[in-house]
Amino acid sequence: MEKDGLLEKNPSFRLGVALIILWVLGFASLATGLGSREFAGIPLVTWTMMSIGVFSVIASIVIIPVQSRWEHISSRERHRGNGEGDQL
Amino acid sequence: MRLLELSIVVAYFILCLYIAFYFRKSAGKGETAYWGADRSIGFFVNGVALFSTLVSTGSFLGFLGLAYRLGWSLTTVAFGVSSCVGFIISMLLASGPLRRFSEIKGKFAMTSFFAERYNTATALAASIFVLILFPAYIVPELMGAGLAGSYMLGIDFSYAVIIVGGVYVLYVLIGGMLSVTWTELMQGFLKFFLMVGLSITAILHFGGLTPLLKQATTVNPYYLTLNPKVSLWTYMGISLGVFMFVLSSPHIIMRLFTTKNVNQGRASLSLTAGMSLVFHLLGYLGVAGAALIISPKLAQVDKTFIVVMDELFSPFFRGMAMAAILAAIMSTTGAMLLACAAEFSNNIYRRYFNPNASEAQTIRLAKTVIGIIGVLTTILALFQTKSIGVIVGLLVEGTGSSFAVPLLAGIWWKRANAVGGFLSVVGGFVAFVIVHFSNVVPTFAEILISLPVSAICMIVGSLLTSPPSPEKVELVASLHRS
Repeated sequence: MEKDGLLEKNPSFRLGVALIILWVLGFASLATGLGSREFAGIPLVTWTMMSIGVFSVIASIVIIPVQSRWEHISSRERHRGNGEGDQL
Repeated sequence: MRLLELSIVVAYFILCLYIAFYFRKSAGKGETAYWGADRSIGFFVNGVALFSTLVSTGSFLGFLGLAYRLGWSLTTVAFGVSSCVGFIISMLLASGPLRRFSEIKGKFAMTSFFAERYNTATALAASIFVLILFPAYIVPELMGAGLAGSYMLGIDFSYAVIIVGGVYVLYVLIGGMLSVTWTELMQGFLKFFLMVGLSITAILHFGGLTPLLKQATTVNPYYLTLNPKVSLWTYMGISLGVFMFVLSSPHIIMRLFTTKNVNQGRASLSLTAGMSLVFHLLGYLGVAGAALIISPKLAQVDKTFIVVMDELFSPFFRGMAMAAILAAIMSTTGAMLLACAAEFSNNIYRRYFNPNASEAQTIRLAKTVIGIIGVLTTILALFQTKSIGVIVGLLVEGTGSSFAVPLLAGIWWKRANAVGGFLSVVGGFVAFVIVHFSNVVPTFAEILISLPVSAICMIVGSLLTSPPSPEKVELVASLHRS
């Protein structure tokens, strides 16, 4: 399951990294000038970041049962001593 | 003197102290009860309390003032979205493992995690930084009390600071985390509904959102757009600072240890993130916009909320809003005071001075620390004159620079070792201080340098020295097991 010590198949980890990348890209749009363009009087970067905020709240609610199930299966696999253990 | 408003504020103080006395007995049961609220808090109470912990005078007065002066687009992204995403990242990457750590090791402070995961030197450095940064954070909070009290109630600035300082110290002393959590539930509701309610009142008062924004942008043409006076680096720096602060501040981390289980902790962070987003986006949009119309040349921008509520609210709601401002001050200061006491008593006193200290001795010492810091910060607040928003903003960045990288690396990177952890904590803090005082980047952009420094210290320090012991590696693995 692990590569260089990173617990990379964990669903929360994946979503977390994806959100950080989205957040950074939102700011990168400012550096390219795209984010400064306006829609309805408000800069695109503000629209983008607000959308990321709303998306992250919804995604976080959805991920709770998924993560819980993944951890449960992962633990069960480990107890069985079944190969590497932490895979779905 | 406004009697109705004053009566509501007095009633609010009495309620806070009643809650503290109510939980006095439960908090006296031992350390798990005093620091961790007996791990009995459900997701809803914890979520609202977490929101309350975040929304300090900085959010209620200082950052709202920045929205008035520098524009809503800046504060929406920097405070609304960044705090929201910070909470969600905390929920995804930190809350579960830290909640498990607390249960496995029986610890209730973030630096205890550093002690177990890295070494005691890392924990000591982190504790010292907490004991420097948090009292400094409490000072502008109490300044907010003086400002609001003198303007709204006609009380002298000094009296307002002393009264609020006395009440919040008292309820933290008496009831520990349980009273802090339940007072924060009440305070969280007050703050959320008063800010959003005032925004909606303002929108209705000016004939709808479009007319309000039209008038506001006539006064400040950059209210909705990017303000050319604000550098791109400042814009990104504040956002990154808030993000990292929410993710790694010890007083927020402490809350993760109080929930009934991992899933309740995660759900509470989703709730907090949603509340923070609505509070900053909708709340600031109407209130700062209305302030531009009501008082176009406001010299002290920290008074943005006060000016609008004074104009648009009835005396009853003014009293409630005043209580909400005090709630903003007391919730954050209460949580920070508790975090300082936990750091000193658990990570300094018990580790270096009296390893055999009993639970009762440790809590007694913690209460002494609470009293001393409470008195010191109240005195300092009487003489401080800087803008609340600027002080709070800088302290937020200092905290994020020091703790975010070692926290995440400690949870997710098994190769992270004690040398990397220590260098990361110290490197981030020192880099932040140097960059700030050397003025090489605009204010609030310091973290754009100090955070990468912290990360480089972690990577280089860990890879150039021997890997962590098998026990530490096993500890990391155990954090990810249900």
